[in-house]
Amino acid sequence: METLQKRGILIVEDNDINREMLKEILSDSYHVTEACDGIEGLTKLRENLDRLSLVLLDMHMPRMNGYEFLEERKKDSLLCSVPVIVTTGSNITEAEEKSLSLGASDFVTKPYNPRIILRRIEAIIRLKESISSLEAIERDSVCGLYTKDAFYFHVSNGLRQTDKSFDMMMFYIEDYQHIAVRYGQNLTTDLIKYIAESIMKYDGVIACRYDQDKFFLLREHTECNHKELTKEFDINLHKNSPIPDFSIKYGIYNNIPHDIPLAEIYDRLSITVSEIKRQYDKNIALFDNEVIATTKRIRQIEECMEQALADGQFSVYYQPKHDAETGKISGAEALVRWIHPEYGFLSPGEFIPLFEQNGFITGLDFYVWEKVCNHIKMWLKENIPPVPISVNASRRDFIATDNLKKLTLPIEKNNIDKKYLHLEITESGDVNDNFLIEKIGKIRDTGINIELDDFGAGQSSLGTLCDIPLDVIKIDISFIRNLEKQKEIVRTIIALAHALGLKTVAEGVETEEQISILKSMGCDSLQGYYYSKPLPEYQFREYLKKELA
Amino acid sequence: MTTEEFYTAIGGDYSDAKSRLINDAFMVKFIGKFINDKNYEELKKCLESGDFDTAFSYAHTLKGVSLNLAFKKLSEACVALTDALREPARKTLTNEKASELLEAVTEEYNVVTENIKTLCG
Repeated sequence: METLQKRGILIVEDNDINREMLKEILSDSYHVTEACDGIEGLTKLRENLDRLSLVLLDMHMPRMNGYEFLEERKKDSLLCSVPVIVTTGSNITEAEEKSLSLGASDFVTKPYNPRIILRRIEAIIRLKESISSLEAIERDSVCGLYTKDAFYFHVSNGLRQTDKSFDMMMFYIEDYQHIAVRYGQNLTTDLIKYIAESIMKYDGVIACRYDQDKFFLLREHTECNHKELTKEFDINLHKNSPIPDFSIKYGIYNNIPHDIPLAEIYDRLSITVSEIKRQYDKNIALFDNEVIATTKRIRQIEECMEQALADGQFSVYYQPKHDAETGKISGAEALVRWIHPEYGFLSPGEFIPLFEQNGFITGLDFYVWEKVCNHIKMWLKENIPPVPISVNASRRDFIATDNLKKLTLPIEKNNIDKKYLHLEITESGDVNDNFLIEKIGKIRDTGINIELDDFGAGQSSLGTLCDIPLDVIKIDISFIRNLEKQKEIVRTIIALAHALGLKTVAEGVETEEQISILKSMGCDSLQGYYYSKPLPEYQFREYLKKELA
Repeated sequence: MTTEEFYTAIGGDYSDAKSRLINDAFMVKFIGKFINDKNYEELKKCLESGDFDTAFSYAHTLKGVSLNLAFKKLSEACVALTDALREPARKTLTNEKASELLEAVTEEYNVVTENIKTLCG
């Protein structure tokens, strides 16, 4: 135990008496390893590298003397991580200077004075250890770039001290989680290291790993075509990469202002990049002033969203779905609306993607779910027979460990039948991961129907239909808008769904013509302005009453 | 014989030894070891064969050890010899001068070793 707790010191000294004297002086406080000359010293240093805190080196030795030892040590940066104190027999300053220039940290002269030796050793070890711990905070342990904090420190200090112009860049690895699941931790780590190495080859750049999937770079401004350079960088990056198919989105902010906080620059770049998210033909975005307005707007929304939820500013609207065959109401989709006392009506197209990004969506989704359960209970009480209500769920909702309980609790509390509740999940790149599939399966097992939203848009995969436990698919609105042109595709989707035992819903239905086409194809339910716009609860209950009368 | 008497007998610096060498037991232990130190013999051999280069090494080490043990007179004799053997002084060092300096070291060395035998029994 004791030897583990004590720091290790290597004494390299040829004379037995001197060496044993040092050992005796040190062994109360340190674990001592001995070597009789430079060659043995180097061997012992290599062997005990991780256990040694210091080397005490005599200069005058046979075979390999202290100077030669220091020369050899200099060639290996690992060996240099252990500091050296030189013991000199003489007080010739030339010898001391020479040893210091070869990398020794300090020297002590003979005759040995135990108190002075112990104090010098302690000081050097403490200095070295404080520098190492500083380095550990400075550098990302995986890739060696600056950490977020160190980058912040160096950049904000640097900017304060200069009038020069700088450009900031952000590199963002798309679908990082997906890559990590697909390729495993080792390959993903290799990818991070590889990207970091490529970044370091950039001339005159300082860079950090900001998040696991995000890098920031700062470079003195040059009048060059950043877009071209970045394109070239991206091509080279993909040439020798440990993982073949990954995509990086690049954000470039030329001439960053010096008078606004760095955090604001980060935000502006993040927003710049988020605007090309999931656009497969674009991977480079340049900051422009419109982003400032967007950033401001996002700030505003984020500042008031929690209060809005607490104040009940979010309300649930219902858009009816009708049976294609009978024309009767067969369900409704619950949609969230936000009317802010100051900003007025806020578009879900604006706040939903933001909430999905910042995680607030989960709280909102469960809030809507609870509201819907309350409404159903209310309708039942008033003898209005409910229809199944589809509630949207973000994939983030499934990460919450207690998500199943959060879904079932309001149903049980209100004592309503689970058949009245459908969960709409959106197809996305990672909907396939096993974790998600398992979670969805468990929800479906309770009796809640699962609907797959926006089918056919973006990254649809037919495999999804078999992997995810489903009841209904909703054909993406883009097919209905171009129904005339994409008739055959829609027909096939419906046939496929039916073959798999799934029902189909078409949304965005606006015309009689669309209805007759979809009906002829056997589509089960229709939703859209032809029937009704989304209605607030008090109007929807009237709609229900009228429909079912 | 006490350590103080020992240091007086060999022309050592007892107060220096006392301030640096922790305690009496430590002192006696390392003084005793000096008997087995081979630097003096090796130094003598080298000088007799005219190998000044290697001789310097031994003289230097002997100087260091006697300094550490506070053998003042011996270390002073060693300093004189070491300085003479160090470059560039070595170039003008004659064999006569070298034996003269060694003689001084030998004299002190013998005093020290004789007294160590008394001290350590």
